[in-house]
This record gives sequence, structure tokens and C-alpha cells, in this order.
Amino acid sequence: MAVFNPKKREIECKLVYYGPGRGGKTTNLEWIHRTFTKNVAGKLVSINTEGDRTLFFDFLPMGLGKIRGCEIRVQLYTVPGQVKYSATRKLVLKGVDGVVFVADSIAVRREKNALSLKDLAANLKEHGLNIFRIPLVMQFNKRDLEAQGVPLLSVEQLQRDLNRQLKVPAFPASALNGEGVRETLKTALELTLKHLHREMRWAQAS
Amino acid sequence: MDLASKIKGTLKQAEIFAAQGLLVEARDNYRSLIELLQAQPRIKDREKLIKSLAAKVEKMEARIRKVESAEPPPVLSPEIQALIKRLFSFSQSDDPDHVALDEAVALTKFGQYASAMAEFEILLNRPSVRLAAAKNILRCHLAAQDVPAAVEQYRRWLEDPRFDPELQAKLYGFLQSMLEQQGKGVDLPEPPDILPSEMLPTLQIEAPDEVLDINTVRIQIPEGPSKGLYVDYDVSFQSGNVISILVSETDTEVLKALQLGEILPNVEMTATVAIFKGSAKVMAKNRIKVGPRSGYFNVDLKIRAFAVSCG
Repeated sequence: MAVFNPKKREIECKLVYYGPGRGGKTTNLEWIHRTFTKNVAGKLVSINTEGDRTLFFDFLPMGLGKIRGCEIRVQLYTVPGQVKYSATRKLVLKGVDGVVFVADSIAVRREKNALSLKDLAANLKEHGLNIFRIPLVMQFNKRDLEAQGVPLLSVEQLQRDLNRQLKVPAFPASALNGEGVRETLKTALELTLKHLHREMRWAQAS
Repeated sequence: MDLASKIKGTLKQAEIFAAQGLLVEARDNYRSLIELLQAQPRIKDREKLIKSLAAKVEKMEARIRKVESAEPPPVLSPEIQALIKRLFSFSQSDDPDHVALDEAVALTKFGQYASAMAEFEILLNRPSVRLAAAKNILRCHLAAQDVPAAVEQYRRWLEDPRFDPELQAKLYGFLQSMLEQQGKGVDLPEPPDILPSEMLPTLQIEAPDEVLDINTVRIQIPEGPSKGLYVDYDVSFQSGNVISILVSETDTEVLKALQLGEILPNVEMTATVAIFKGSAKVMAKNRIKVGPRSGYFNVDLKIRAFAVSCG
């Protein structure tokens, strides 16, 4: 849940990167941390296993500066994607203001994408949130693997699988190379801040 | 595609999957290559190739076993523990003791039991949170699979002047219940001067409009073969003093008790900072017909009263 201080004109919100295991959530944050050096407000904290799988969460605080008279801070999180860490995902999702769903474009991971999206919807519901109402952006990651001969789901197929009902903005991406990462984050932040303005009226009239 | 290209392509794909950490997919690719080669007796160095692929399958399986093994969570650095306390304690209280309790609870959620217990120990000296801290210490021991430590801790508190008979009775009931849930038959020493709960005067107050976030609710089955047993449900939604739970259609005895308008007299609710008893009125009961929870019943319970036992 975003924290808005009307006296100081500061707002802090929470954006969570969700998706199946090994889909590229941490890679997104790592690229953001390397690239947006001016906006990064602290260390990228990654709690992971020996095999570099996220164990608990990644955390990256960012400052976006002043927008419409208000100092904007955002906390980016990722969740662990492995099925067994369901309780941790639910915990990390608490107080979320916006979500980026990172889908894996590899064809053999199709079912994992769908299961993870269902898991997201269920966990949001347990927090009293609705996946159809929360600011949400999709990223179809690993598009670069097509050039290496790995069978991928087409963007159209991914849209049908995951976005037919939600109809949220979706971006093809290659988080390893940074392609699509900026656009995904920018849109997610825009949607989140607009949503928060409707809830909290944080923005001053320009 | 000729055979050689197919083998090369599948092998390359397996290696990409392995590098991505998609171990099951990599293993399956190697296996499919073994099957392919076994069906082709004329391939040069076939046995050598199969042996090499079998070794890769074994390697993937070892990595899969490691990933899926239920290892205890690692002990995190003090800096990360401090971050966890900052990010994952959601207390809205002004009371520093309740804030400290919530922070320690946050540590337990990430398996940092030793650090959490050290903080709960300090909070045992604060009367307002002593019971919650004690219960959480017992929870930590049980979560770390150390039943003897939990029992021993409880025994020590029976001789600890900070714990009066009322607190000891509550801890006895709490630990007994937790052990039963886990199927551990342990004979706990009863605290001295324990009174049966029905002899304790209870103070019934109406539930305030603003209530704590309730995480789980425990309902006692009133009738049938399982009469008297308790069943726990996670709270799926809460609005004020109305909570929602999802009850499986297979929980027939519980569903029978959850008739519209029915008042459940013995309900125990767990919030982040407290466990309290009360009663609840069934406000709604709807069967879910579609979706992943199809067949479940969504039940709304209005918390009707909080019972506070006093000696």
C-alpha cells in the first residue's frame, strides 16, 4: 500500500515483478540497477540460492525525482518463482501497488506461465486485490532465444494465453540485453502512479 | 531435417536450457536424444554418445534434486534481517513493543528463527506482548522441527515468575493444540492452579469496528464423528470485523455447522500480534462454481464478540 505524506509531498509505492521461475524477473532488476544509476536509491539486494535462484526476494529502491510537485519513490521487488515458495510470494506481494508479470517465451514453459498467472490472481485476492483492477503490465521475455534456434511462443500466442481477458499493456523483451525492460518499467510506473492519484490525489495540478 | 542436424539442434537446446536453469527441460532433451540414438543402431560411436548423454541426464537430475530439496533457509546477514524487519513488518501501532513484536514476526516468515527468538526473548519482559512473544518462541521451535526444545522452554516458564498461572494456562493450551495439529503425542506438564476454562469468568465485549488483521481462524466441530476437534482456515479476505474463509466441499462436518445465521461459540482467531478467542456468526455461504476453487464454499463470518479470560 503506497505511503503518501501530503505535508512533505512525498509518495512511496511498491512494484512487484512476478512470474514463473527462471523467467527473468531478477534479470530485469539487475538491468535496471545497472542502467538507471541516477535513479537507484540504494543497493540491489538479492537473496538467492547457490544456483542463483531467488530464494526470498530481490529489492531495489528507486527515486524518480519530483513529478507533478511530488517526490516519488518506488520500491521494486521480485518474488521467488519456484512453486514451493508460494508462502513467500504471498508475503512479498502484500501492500503491492503495481505488478509486472514476466512471462517466459520459451515454448516448453507455456504451462508454467499460466500457472504463475493463476497464482498471482489467487495471491492478490488473498490480499483483497483484484488482478483486473491492479496496475499490471506483461513482459514476454527471452525473445532473443529465437535467434539461437529455441522454439518460442509467438507474441500473439502469449497474448492469447495470458492477456486475452486482462488486456493490459504487454512488451516483448530480452531482459539479458535490456530490450523492452525500460518500456515495461516506464509503463508499469505510469499506470501505478495514475492509479494512486485516483486513490490518493497526490499530484498537483500542472 | 536430417538426423545429424536434429541431434545437434536438440543438444544445443538442452545446453541452453541447462544454462537458463531450466533443468527439467534440459534433462528431458538429453533423454529424448538417448531414445533417438537407441533407435538408430548404425550411428558411429553410438554407445559412447549414449553414455555421455546419460551422464548429462544424471548431472541434471542431481541438480534438480538439490533445487527441490527441502533445505532449511540460510541464516541471513544482520543487514538483510534489518531490511526484512523494515520491509515486512506492517504494524500500524504506535506502541514500540508491538512494533518490535511485528518485526520479530517478520523474521520468522523468512525462516530466521534464531534471530527472531532472541528478539522475542527480550519482549518477554514487556507485559503487553509477553504472551504473544512466548507463543511465537514456541512456534519458532516447532517450525525448526525441535519439539523437545519447545517443551523444555514451556517447562522453564512454569517456574518463571514472569508467567502467572493465567499465562501458563494459555501457553499450555496453545502448545498442546500445536502439538496435536502436528500429530505429536507429548504429555505436557499441566501448570499449577489451572482452572478449566468454563470456570474462568469471561468478559464479553462487542467487536470494535476496527479489528486487527486476522490471518487464520480455528473452528470447533460441534457435532458428528469429529465433534470437539478443531479445524483451521486461512482468512482469504477481511473487511472490518467480517472475515471470509474458503471451506472445501469435503469438509462436510464443518459445512453442516456453518448454516446461515448460526453462531459459532468457540472460535480462535490468529492475528499477527495476538491470538484471541471469540464467537462468530455465519453471514453468508456461497458455493464457488467456476475457477480453480470450484467446489469450495466462500463463507463470511462476522466476529461477534471477543472473549477475554481473566482469573
